[in-house]
Amino acid sequence: MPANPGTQNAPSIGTTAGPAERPNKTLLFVQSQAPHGTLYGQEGLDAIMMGSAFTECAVLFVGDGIYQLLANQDTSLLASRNYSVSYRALADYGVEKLYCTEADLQQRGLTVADLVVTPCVIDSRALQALMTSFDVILDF
Amino acid sequence: MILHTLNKSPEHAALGRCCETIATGDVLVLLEDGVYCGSAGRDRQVGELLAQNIAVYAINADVQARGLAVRMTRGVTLIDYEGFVQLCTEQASSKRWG
Repeated sequence: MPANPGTQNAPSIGTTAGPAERPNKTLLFVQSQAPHGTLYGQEGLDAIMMGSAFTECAVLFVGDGIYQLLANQDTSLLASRNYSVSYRALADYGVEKLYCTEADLQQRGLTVADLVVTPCVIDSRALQALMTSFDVILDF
Repeated sequence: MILHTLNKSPEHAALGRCCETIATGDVLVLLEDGVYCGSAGRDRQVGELLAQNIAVYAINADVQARGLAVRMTRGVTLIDYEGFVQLCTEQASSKRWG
């Protein structure tokens, strides 16, 4: 009787010696695009929510990315979803570290009071430290 | 006269190129991310155009979507898509920046 080719040489699942238990890599998501003009912001937010299921995630808003948090967005006249409100739910996903820079707010005439959530406002030196403190940086 | 359209935020070079080229009597329509160019704090160049009597419009749907309804510069006229088409018919040609 021929051996079943499907099982004879198949690696046995679950018994392979794997690497020692490693902590998951920490992720810094960088949102750098204004909302609605492109899909980057929405895709980035979806990725943040997925990533939060597995590991520690934080979000950095740079440049026009901070516009994603501007309050009072109303997309009813566009074929685009107002996902800015979903940022309020991030804390429920365990993502509580949101950052932006003072310079980016000032250049756009904004304060944190104009935003749907309150990110931690940092300067450029802290920005460098922030980026080096995460294992992986994901750009959107 | 030329209808200029701009669909990039002030972060991009498109705004500067548009402003170098646009002439009195021309019309500028801000659309998509271009509407940020007419919002408070980012409106220096658009303010200069308005001072030169260049008419500046912005697509209302794009302004509303970005939460800019209360932040648009005085002098920028909000229009809908029908208004956009009307402006197109009134100008001899058009130039897209972005």
